[in-house]
Amino acid sequence: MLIELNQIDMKYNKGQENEVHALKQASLSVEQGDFVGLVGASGSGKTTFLQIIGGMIRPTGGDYFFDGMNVRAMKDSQLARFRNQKIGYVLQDYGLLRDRNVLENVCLPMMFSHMKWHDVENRAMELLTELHIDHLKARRVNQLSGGQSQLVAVARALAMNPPVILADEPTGSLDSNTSAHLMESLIKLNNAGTTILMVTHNEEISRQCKRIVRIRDGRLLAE
Amino acid sequence: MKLLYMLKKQYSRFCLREMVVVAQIVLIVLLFTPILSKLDRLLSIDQLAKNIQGPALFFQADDYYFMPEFLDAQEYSVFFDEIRKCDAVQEVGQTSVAGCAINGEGASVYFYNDALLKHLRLQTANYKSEEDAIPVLINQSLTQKYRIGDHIILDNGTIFFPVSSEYQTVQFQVAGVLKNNDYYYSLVGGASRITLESIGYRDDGLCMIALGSFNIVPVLDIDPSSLLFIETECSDTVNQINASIGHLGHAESIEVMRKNSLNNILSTNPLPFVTAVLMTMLCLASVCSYAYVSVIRLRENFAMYYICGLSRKKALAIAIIALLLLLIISLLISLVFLPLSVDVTQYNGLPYSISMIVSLFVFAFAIIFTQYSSIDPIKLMRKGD
Ligand SMILES: Nc1ncnc2c1ncn2[C@@H]1O[C@H](COP(=O)(O)OP(=O)(O)OP(=O)(O)O)[C@@H](O)[C@H]1O
Ligand SMILES: [Mg+2]
Repeated sequence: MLIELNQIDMKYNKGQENEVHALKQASLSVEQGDFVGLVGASGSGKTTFLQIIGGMIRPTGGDYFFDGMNVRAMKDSQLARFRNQKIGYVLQDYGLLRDRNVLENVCLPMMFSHMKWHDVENRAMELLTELHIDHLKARRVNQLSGGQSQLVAVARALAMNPPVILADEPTGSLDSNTSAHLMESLIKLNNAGTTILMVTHNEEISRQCKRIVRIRDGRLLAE
Repeated sequence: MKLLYMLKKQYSRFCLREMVVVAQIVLIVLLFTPILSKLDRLLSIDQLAKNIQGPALFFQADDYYFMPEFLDAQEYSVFFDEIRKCDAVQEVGQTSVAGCAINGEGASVYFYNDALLKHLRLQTANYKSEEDAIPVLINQSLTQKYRIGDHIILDNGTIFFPVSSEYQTVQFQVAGVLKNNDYYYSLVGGASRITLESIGYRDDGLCMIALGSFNIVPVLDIDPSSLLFIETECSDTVNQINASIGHLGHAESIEVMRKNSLNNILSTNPLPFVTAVLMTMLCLASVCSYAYVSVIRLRENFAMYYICGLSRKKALAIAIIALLLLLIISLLISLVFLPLSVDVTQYNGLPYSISMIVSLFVFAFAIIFTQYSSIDPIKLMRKGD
């Protein structure tokens, strides 16, 4: 099992007046090569769930093993390396750095690795070409359309060639053409062995996933 | 990690902001350093004056007379030997200037207290016209035996110090200083008339700041004994002494004199202090606002760094190093241009300049540290949903 989540509990602002119980006893196992669609209403805890898997926030309860490693027991520095090397995260609103161009944004995760400069640029160009946005490489990100931004965000997530991609509504702001194109890329990636967890509202999109996990009020429903 | 790249990205696009900050710091250091130097000098007087044990006499330097013009080498070496016998004298030798009369002969000899000159940070060499000139050092205990204006007679193992008309000295000049203190006073006198000419504070060894409002001895035509500083702080003793001197003079506690002098310097010379405070505020505001603005500007980057696999510690370290680089650059440029602002060979304010820059950046570090620590990268990136 690549990802094993056991009775994961997440309370924001734990113990305070404004405590939010965002995840309740969520358990999920994901095999390598899976393509999981996460479906649920707004505020049901989808993003929270992805971010726990991505090692960006620490759950307040439960166990999380990634490829046999106990993620909850990792130190901050180990967790940072885990995010860098194991996880590609596509944010709900792209999360691109506005002070840089497209190429630099795609290069970002590689900046924290030991890759050579030469390889960094080659890898970034390779990804841009694959996603058909190589002509945008020198553009500032505030000059991109929503769809283009999303593709850049995907390229950045793929940069380190991580075994797992977490995509938070990657097709949310895209027109049907672009979103089909993006799905194509993700499916191709999945076929090549990358495990994908994707949040979506769109039924048609979710049908293309191998598995669908539903979340309601912080609880995972039986598949 | 590509540290250089990450550092470069901490700075603004064409580094304009940073150049402004660095230029501002350099400018302020250059303006500030001489003021700091002066400030240091002024404030150290207070410290030095705490060590005062008693007044010391010295014969003030004067450019008009030079001993060899009046005596040959044989004569003045005999003269020095005689002075050396005096138990108040530690060392004696030719100096270029310092004056008194020898045995009522009209010749003037000038000598001075070398320890004092050193203390005044004068270039002794400038005052000696001969390479081998040995200064006359006058023991502090001299003044415990003889007050200013007393006859100090060389023949009896003491220095003869002519004041009265009996010896027909045309003119002499005598100055006193407080041991370890930059203040000195100067008496100019003829056969029967002694005048308090000035009381001053020697600054930089180049100019003298006259303490015009110094009011211990307000009269001009005074008896030499009128200027008497007393070690005691007990006002009863001072009053007693004053009563016994009567109208002939005035005694004052050294401590009181010191406070008066310092107050005088502060009130007649407030500019360095005001400027120093203003400049520090200005620079502090500039550096701190730079730090603050750069955190605001870069906090989303900070959040994305975190998400893409940089620990908070490392991200913070990058911000700190970027700031540290600015600090080092400011320091280096300041040092390079410092000779424009002060005479570096005489300069003793370097620790001040450095500590000023460093303390500025400590504030900036504190801002960066607290601001970045309060950022929750995940929360920050949620604002879009
Ligand atoms: N940092 C936080 N502090 C407090 N509450 C939070 C925080 N992040 C999320 N929440 C709350 O946790 C719950 C789950 O949020 P989450 O973002 O995971 O939902 P979601 O399913 O991704 O919603 P959406 O579809 O709108 O993106 C919500 O009620 C949200 O308000
Ligand atoms: Mg969400």
